[in-house]
Amino acid sequence: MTNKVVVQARSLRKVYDIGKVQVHALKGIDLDITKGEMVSVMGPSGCGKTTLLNCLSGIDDPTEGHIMIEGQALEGMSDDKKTEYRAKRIGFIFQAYNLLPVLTAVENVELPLLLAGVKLKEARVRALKTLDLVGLKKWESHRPSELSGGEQQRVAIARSLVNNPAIVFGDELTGNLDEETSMQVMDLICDLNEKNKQTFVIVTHDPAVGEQAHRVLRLRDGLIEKEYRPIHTG
Amino acid sequence: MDGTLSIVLLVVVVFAIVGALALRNVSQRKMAMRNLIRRKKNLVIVIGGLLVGTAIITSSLVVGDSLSYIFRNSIYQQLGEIDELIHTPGGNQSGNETGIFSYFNYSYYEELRVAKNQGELPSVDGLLPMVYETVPVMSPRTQLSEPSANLFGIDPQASRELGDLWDSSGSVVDEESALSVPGNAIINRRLANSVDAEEGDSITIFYTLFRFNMSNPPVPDVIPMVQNLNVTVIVRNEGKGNFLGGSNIFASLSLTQQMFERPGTINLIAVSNVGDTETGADKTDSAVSEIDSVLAGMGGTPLEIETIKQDNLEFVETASEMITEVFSLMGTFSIVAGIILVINIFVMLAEERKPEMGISRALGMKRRHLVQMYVFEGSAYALIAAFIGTFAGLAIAYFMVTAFGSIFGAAGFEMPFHFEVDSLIIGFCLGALITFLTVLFASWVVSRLNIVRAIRAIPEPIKEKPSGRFVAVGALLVALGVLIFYGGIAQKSMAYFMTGPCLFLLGGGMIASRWVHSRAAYSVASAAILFWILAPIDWTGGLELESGMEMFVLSGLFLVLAAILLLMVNSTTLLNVLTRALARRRKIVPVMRIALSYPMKKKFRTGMTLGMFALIIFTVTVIAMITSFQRNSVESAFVEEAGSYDIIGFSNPSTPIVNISENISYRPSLANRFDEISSMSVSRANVYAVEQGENSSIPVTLYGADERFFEENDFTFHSMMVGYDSPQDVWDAVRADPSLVVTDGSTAVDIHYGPETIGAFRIEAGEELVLQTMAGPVNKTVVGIVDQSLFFQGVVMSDATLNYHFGARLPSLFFFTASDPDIENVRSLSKDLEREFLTSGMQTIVIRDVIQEFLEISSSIMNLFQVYLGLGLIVGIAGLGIITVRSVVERTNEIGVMRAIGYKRRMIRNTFILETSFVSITGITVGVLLGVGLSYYIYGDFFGEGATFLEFMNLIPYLNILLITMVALAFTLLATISSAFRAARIVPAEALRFKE
Repeated sequence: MTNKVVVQARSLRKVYDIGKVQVHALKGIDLDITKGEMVSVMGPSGCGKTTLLNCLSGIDDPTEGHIMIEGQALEGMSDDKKTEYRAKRIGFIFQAYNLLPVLTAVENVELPLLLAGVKLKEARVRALKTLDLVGLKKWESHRPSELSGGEQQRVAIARSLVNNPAIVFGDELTGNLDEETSMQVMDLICDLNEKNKQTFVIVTHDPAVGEQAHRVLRLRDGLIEKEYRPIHTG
Repeated sequence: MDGTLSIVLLVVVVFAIVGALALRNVSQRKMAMRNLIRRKKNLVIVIGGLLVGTAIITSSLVVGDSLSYIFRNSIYQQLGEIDELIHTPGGNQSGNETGIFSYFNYSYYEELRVAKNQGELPSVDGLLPMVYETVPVMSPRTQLSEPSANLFGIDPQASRELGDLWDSSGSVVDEESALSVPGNAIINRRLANSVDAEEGDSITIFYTLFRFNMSNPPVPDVIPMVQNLNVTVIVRNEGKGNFLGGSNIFASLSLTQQMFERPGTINLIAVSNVGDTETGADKTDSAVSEIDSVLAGMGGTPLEIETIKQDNLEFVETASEMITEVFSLMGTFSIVAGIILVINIFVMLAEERKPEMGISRALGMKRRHLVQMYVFEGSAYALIAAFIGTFAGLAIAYFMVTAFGSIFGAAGFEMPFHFEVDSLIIGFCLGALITFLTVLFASWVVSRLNIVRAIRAIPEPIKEKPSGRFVAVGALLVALGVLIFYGGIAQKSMAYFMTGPCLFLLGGGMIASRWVHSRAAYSVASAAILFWILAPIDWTGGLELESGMEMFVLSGLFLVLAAILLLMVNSTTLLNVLTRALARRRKIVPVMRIALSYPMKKKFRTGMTLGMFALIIFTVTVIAMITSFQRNSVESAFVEEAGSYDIIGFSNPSTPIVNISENISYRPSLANRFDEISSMSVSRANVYAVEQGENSSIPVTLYGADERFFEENDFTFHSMMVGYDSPQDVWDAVRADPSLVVTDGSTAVDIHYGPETIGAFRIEAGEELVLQTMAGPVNKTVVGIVDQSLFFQGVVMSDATLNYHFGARLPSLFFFTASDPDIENVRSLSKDLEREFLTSGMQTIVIRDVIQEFLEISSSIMNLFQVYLGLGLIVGIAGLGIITVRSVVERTNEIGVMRAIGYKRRMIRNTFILETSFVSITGITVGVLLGVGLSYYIYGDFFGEGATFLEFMNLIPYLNILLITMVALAFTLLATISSAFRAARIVPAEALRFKE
């Protein structure tokens, strides 16, 4: 593991205006994530986990504070630049898999490549290779509705990895899976992290998932309450 | 029971039942009403789409109302108090080619007068004996002339019974005093304006006396006469003054009897029934039977009672019903599109509410409760949409009538807007019922759900093989198709003949899908339907089938159904082809992939929307094609209608022209300016086709052609009897054989894609018709039917044959071919003919100008139809608008994901725009292609055998079609773009959290 910082957040605050009420989701977060690191963000519901992930990945803007990803400040970027950046350097895995239902498994996986301007043929080859990596090559032409939850999540992982992003954000990526499938998915993530030195930031409320990361950040009321490195016995 | 009352009762009963159910089932009612107002924007779009059907029905009825009102008014204005005319058989007031009635003894009138006074004619309140002739008139002071004025010789005392005459100040004219001096006359304002006459002026009328010599056949000596009359009063063109809508002269009966050397005789008795101008015709049947019984007691000349007002009213009723039918049939496409929209909306609403429905079912709601819930909601939609649609229809009809008014305004027709409340009620009821029935069907379909799948929003599994019930429906369609096909042959119906195989093929596809891949089964079935309808093959194999407008509607519906089916079952291939084609444009690929994948996944929704667009664009394209054909068919129309002649002339029947060729050779301004001059004498008789029976007998004009006509005319033939190879063979046969005749194009049975000509009998070459002559019925064989139907309509025979049956007649219809065909020369010749034969009341027509004007009017009407049918696009656009609004909501999470993985805002916006454009462009393309394809047939009808495919391609109105396409696309974009922008504005983090 190198010490190069991939994600840096300083004094991160996020306030939601819900009618006349202001909800302070993040109250000043400082954070550094280094390349190849696997960080889990844990905490009770409503503590700001997903908000932190959204802000770090650039799909939501913080109310205050600074975020640097691979040395680039997010706050000065236009929406288009941020989107372009996400397309090329960031991967996402969602709780509900969020595959596009009208596309087949391989089409879902190749979508980030097409967005990055890769040729159709090349994109297909790389998508199939990535599907193979998650053990789903033979399901390439199946639509999401024809796959199990675990399979769908593996397709989502393949989609998040296909363009070799600097960092992959996972939001409750095992939330919809049973225990056994959750472990299979986490094994895959850990394996990818170890082999490819892929940086992961995983939001979860499941300790069994969170504890598999190199570092755990515990959030409470919009602040990092505790940060520790779990001891891996396996 | 009255039709309006029946439909009102039906609607009341249906909605009363729905209302009663809604009162009883509180929770379903509440859910339905809350669902109704749940999404207000949706509500507006849904109502907008649903009201189109009602609007189309109402507008077609109201256009019919207006036309009926206009026609009826014109009859009331022309006939005033007159309900029947009594004259000798053969003379017929509605045919102005003859105009001459035979004279009969005045005692007939006296007998009727006595009978009336004795109360034997209780249905009659007025009798007027007349001498009626049409004559040319000239004002010596102004030198202006009117070639055809109506001269009425009236008994001023009896005249009051037929209503009054009013002078320009509105005072009733004392006819007795105005006509007390022999040589005095009353004229109407129309004639006064034509010749610029004033009260106190003298006018000159020209007429002819016939003196028969002893030759065999008898040829009359013609003695030209002149009579000067003093204009004592100019009366308004109202009531009796407007009689026959012409330029009228009223003189004393004795003067006219003296002029025409017919003392003690008259040639017309006008009868007024009890009641006013409008209600008098109700008494026609009783009046006829009363008059008949009086006349039966008299010997001598048999007289005919012509029920002129009743006949004309019936005729206009048929005409306006026919126009309503044309509008309704044309509007069928929009109505079908509206029905598709209702189904689409309900299926979409059901998809949106599927989890709720699943939960409701899980909690104990029965399937019928779900149906009720949708029916309650749908009924509210139906009633609101029908109510607004009725007034929208009224507005559309107003627009149409006003537009018709501007088209025909130049020809002097006034077109006031008029509607009957009954039409609005029927429009409302039919619109509400159609929507309700569709809602009922759609509710039944959407209520069939699996509870677990519905709650978890899991898509319904695609069945590998169709169910037995599905196959049974297919078998039913096959059987129905066979039955309809053979029924079509038996009933000589082209519509049935063509529809049967379509149903057969569709059913066959459904059955085959059980054993072969459904894609293959439906591809073959739909391609076969397209081939059956569009292939340039005459499938009838010589069968003579009748077809009308319904053929166009049925062909259109099946063509669109087949094309959409073919497209949807092969959508994956289409998608791959498109993706590959655009693969080089890398920036487009991600947008296009999503934009095309969604419509292809939601096949039902997309198919229905494509169908809506395709149906409407199909009809608009066909109309645009026909308009183009018309614009470009002046030359072929000229060949068909003109028979190589340039000018047609009509002389006044009272002043026929004897030996016109010789007559012209004496006149320096006309001599040597013609290559050809032919003539026809004209009569009128009741005629029916033997095939149709005596009950179909109608008055028809009969033409007796001269030798020159038989030798020189170039009229083309629509059909000829077997055994005749050329038009000249046919004409030679008619000339030589008195049992043979030719009829005009309006009598042909196989007119495609257009309304049938009203008042024409139908016959085929080789069949027999019966002429009802004074000597009894005479059978004639139709040896050919000419294409021409614009300048003379009726039965053509030799002049000798006509004279044999109807007495000696002099020619009054003339055909001229100019030596110099330049149009300016032809126009000047036409004017010279009118001037030279002023005293014969010669009126001429420059054939090319009339055809041009006719085609221009026809084109304007077609353009109007295009706009009318284009209204149906509202349905398609509303449909797409709703789908887009719904799609944005439905896909909010997916939009979030797309934004997260790198779709920029504009890419999201473009995805939606491309998606709606793809659907609309595909629908439009299908509609245009099918419209152009079907038009190829119509093209053949226009241009005949000389038509080539290359010429057809040149006649496609590319610009017009492009304009239609652009307008449809622009409106589609307008309806969907705000949703696309809204989708682009969605913040990804919020989109990912979104729950409906």
